[in-house]
Amino acid sequence: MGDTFFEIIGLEKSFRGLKATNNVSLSIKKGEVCSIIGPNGAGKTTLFNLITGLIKPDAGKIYFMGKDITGHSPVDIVHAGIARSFQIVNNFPRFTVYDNIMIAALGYKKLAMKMFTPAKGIAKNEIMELIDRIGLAKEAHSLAGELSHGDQKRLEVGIALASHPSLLLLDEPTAGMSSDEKGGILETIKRVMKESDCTVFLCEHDMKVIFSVSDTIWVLHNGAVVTSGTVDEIRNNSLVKEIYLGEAE
Amino acid sequence: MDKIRNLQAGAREWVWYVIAFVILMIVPFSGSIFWTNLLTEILIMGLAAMSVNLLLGFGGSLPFGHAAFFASGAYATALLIKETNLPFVAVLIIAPVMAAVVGAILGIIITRLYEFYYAIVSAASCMVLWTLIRKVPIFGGDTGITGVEIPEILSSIDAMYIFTIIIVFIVLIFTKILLNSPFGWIQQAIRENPNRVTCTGSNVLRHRYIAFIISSFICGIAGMLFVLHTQSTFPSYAHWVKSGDFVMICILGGVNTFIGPMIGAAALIILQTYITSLTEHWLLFLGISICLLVIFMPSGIMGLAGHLPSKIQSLYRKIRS
Ligand SMILES: Nc1ncnc2c1ncn2[C@@H]1O[C@H](COP(=O)(O)OP(=O)(O)O)[C@@H](O)[C@H]1O
Ligand SMILES: [Mg+2]
Repeated sequence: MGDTFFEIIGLEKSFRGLKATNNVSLSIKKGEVCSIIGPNGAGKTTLFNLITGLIKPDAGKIYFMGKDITGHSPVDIVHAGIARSFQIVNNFPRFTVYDNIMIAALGYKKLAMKMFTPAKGIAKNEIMELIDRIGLAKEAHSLAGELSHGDQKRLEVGIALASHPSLLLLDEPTAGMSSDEKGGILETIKRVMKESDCTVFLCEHDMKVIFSVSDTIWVLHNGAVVTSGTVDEIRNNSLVKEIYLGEAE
Repeated sequence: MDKIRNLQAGAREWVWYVIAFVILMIVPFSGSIFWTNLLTEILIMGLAAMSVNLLLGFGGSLPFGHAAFFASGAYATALLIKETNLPFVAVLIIAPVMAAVVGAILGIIITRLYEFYYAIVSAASCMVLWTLIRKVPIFGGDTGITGVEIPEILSSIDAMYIFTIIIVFIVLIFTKILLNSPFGWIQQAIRENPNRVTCTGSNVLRHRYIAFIISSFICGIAGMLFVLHTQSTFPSYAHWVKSGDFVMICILGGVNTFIGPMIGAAALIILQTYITSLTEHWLLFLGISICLLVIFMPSGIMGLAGHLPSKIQSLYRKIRS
């Protein structure tokens, strides 16, 4: 287990009797794009909430780079090197794009308690460079709440990247986007992966998106892992087709 | 949506503070004891309201118990002067620190709460302190503590006024620097979205706690100044109605601006003074005026001031066309 980059063993979480996470075990290799697919309500977001410490598991273990991080606080988990984006945009709507990223950068640098230097001077170039990478350079000084939905999803990724994660969790980064916007953000994600040496753990209910970026895919259904494999294996898996039959257009 | 942008100080804003400082320093030379006294009171109440606004407008909390810290600062000052031989400078430091200590104790519970619960528990803890102050003999019971002697140098109305301005401006500059620092930005980010702040690696609970202590310290300074100004202190300083006054002053002046509470204090105290002299039903009229102010200026006096230039512009355009 010491040499595995990221590993979950027997994770369990129930909400009032409903098993949202049912004995989930999975592992991720360093440098890969690992994905979870599953229809709405499969338990993808719950799994991400468990990994990032927002909710505590009922049972099971989470290991990251050889360390047991089960039940650690969200703050500690960020500093251990796991950052995330949210499915539903979750930014500081009345702050500019720059300020949104700045808040995350201050958190990463553990400067929240610094009281006597202007925040605006800190890591200026680094922040602008990141804004450029997520393709929001023109909007750097627009208010986050006034951006288009697609741009807010980009910002969502940017805020997560400002934490310099080794493992980046992306919760449905293309949710609610038009197909044009989807292509754009996927390009961005691929480029960021290459440039910043981070492993990506992605969850989506859109299979097209998953098939276009993933190395390994895990299929989640009713809170439990049903199967896993490469893109080709999953594409031809009859069980997966069955789960998605209701969703297919 | 563009409110947040104006919160950060530009060079131009500092110029306004220098001008305000100079104008305020000139007042005593006008020879009006009435205005000098009134302005001393406005500055002190404004300072207390600003300490509240640090948590209200900038932190997104509802601090309904800051009278506790105002009273802590006030009673500590009165007792230190009356019961000990400490040098005056030591009193100036210890009194606000006592308020901060009370803040550190009450804050343990209060800063864990949000919204309604935060408001109720802060108001309740303020009432506990009020009861203690009335029942524990050293605090002088219902009659409070009077005849607090201050050093010769501050005994004139003008001297006390100048002393108040200097202290208040030092604290204002400190607060302004604080709000522009990483600490201040994280504080405002917590108001916007505490959950996201947590997920970017800053400890929200610790942050709210430290901000609470800083705020009680500043409110303690206001309480201390008020005792030096009036040379007495009463249990009503710790009553939750006093806390309500601070919040009302903030809302009146505008919670989204740095200087709003100071403007709110000026508005309230001047209104109070004039309406009292006009009619004996002054509370009724004061209440109605405040209701009207809040209804027609939801973002406070400063909010209106911020919109004035654009309003005038659009009016000008209408006239021309
Ligand atoms: N905080 C919660 N309280 C109660 N039920 C929850 C909570 N979070 C998720 N659930 C339930 O857990 C199941 C999985 O939800 P979720 O993880 O959001 O699925 P997905 O992200 O795959 O769409 C759903 O049935 C949902 O209603
Ligand atoms: Mg989800």
